[in-house]
Amino acid sequence: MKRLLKYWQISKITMSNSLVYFWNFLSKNVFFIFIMFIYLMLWRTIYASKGTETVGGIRLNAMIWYLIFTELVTLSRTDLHMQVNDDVKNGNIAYLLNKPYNYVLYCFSCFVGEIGVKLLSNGLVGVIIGLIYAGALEGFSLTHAPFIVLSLLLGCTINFFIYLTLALTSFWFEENSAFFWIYSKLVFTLGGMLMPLELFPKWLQNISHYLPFAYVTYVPARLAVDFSFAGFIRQFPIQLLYLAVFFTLSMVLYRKGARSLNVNGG
Amino acid sequence: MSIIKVQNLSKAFKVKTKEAGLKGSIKSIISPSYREIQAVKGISFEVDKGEILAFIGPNGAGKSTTIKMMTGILYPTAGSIEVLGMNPSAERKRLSYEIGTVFGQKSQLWFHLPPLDSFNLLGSIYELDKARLTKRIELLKEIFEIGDLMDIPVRKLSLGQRIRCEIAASILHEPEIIFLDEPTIGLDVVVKQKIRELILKLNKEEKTTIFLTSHDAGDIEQMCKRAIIINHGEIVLNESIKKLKYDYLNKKILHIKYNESVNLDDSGLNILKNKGDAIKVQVDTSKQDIEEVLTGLIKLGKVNDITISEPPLEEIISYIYKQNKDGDRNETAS
Repeated sequence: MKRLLKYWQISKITMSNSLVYFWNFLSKNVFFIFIMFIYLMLWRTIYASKGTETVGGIRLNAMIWYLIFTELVTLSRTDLHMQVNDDVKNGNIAYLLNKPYNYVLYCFSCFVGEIGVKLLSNGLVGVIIGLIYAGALEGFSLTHAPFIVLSLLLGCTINFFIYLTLALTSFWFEENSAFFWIYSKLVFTLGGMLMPLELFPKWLQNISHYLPFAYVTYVPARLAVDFSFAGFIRQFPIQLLYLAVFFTLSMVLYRKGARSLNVNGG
Repeated sequence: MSIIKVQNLSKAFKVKTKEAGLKGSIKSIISPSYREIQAVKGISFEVDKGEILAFIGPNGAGKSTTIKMMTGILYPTAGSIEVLGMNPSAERKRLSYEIGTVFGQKSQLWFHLPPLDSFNLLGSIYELDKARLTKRIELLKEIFEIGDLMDIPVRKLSLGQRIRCEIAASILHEPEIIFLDEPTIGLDVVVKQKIRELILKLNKEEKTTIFLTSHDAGDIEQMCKRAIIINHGEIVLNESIKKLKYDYLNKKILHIKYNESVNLDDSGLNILKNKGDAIKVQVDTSKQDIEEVLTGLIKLGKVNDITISEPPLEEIISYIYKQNKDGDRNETAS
């Protein structure tokens, strides 16, 4: 029990630390308001030029809420991977390894502490933006909310472990920032952050459904705007599977990396 | 009883090298080249329970690398380490419950939060009972005089206050050994003195073994009984501080104040300063009998005051480093 309690304490202290930056988080939401305004203008024009009520089977109201959810996952991302990356490169990781905890779980606990504050502040702003820009989400039921939140949290967690896995490659690569850039662009496109996968050509849709990026942003956002228990039961286990894959990968990379740690000097 | 045993310990690092200029940059992309650096070269030593040991050496000597291997952070290339009967690299987590570390330039306290938050977190990390943790914090607050600092964010503390909190945090779990890497770096003389007193108190009252690295001769002189000097990854000296000071340079400084001016022309002494009625003489006790020299100097005139001092430790250490460097040069030349 005490072994698990320490990770909860790490999350709690990270949460306290994050609250120091609460107003900073809120000020960052100005960008959220701005980007959603651009999306609103863009999609209004697309719907108007098409002259139809739906695009790819999605109404404008659902499209705006879909984009709010994908942005919510992306904007709530923590920068812990950058910290891990820097710690490995400059040798600071040596000072974090001499404590009785698992380093990957330590990072995950920090993520839990930070994501809570970020999701709360971004979520609050997201709901207000959605209500102002698109009105209430059509067909939304409060009974679906726990499942949507669960999928959203899982999307954020998969995102965290993918970033952590990429950060841990710095044990072997001197410069790995390109990996983060490529990954963020893959989430932007194949993850359905720019537009729902339904708007892709059929062959790309099929490929995207097999890749992890869709389970970071597309799946939780699509469930939020068009919830069905069948869809949840089909996609949630795949989210869990991807989570297990990237968690295992980060553990393996950490174990192997720590053995070959090259920290010369004080 | 030895609680740290290090035998033939070595650590080699592979460092990427690159030729200067654009051509070198292109070449390093196509065919990167590496050089192996021997940071630690087959060192052996032991540390007894309750001892305060100084592990000193110039920058890049291999001190921090050795500490990191002893705490299980780095894996040795060759040799063996036993700390409290454990192999640090194989049992890093188990060992971490028994050791504490303070790296003077790195903080384990959360910068934006008060030290009490970090203390509570560390209590959970080291799996201390709530009651034991509360009792321990109260005791450390008293010993380190940090009671008033517990609710102030760490970023608002002075360096001296932060270091006091750092040391207290590192011994929260009552470790048997504490590794102090430059604990007094950047502190003023008064705070340095305070930290030294606290470390001595910790050693005396809790019987904690202290493994200290420092560039400050004062730290070593005032706290340690034994010093290991490491240079270029090799141990160049492993002696008690007393013996080190007594043996190594065999030099004493005599300050004598006379009633009137004295003549030292034919004395054959190494005169460092001569103001006529006040002289400073260096005596090499391996070549000269100090009693004879002293008797001779007393006979020169009526003595008002006399002081015999040893050369500062700083001078001895730099002399050893220099000797080791010269030795290396001669080796390379031959």
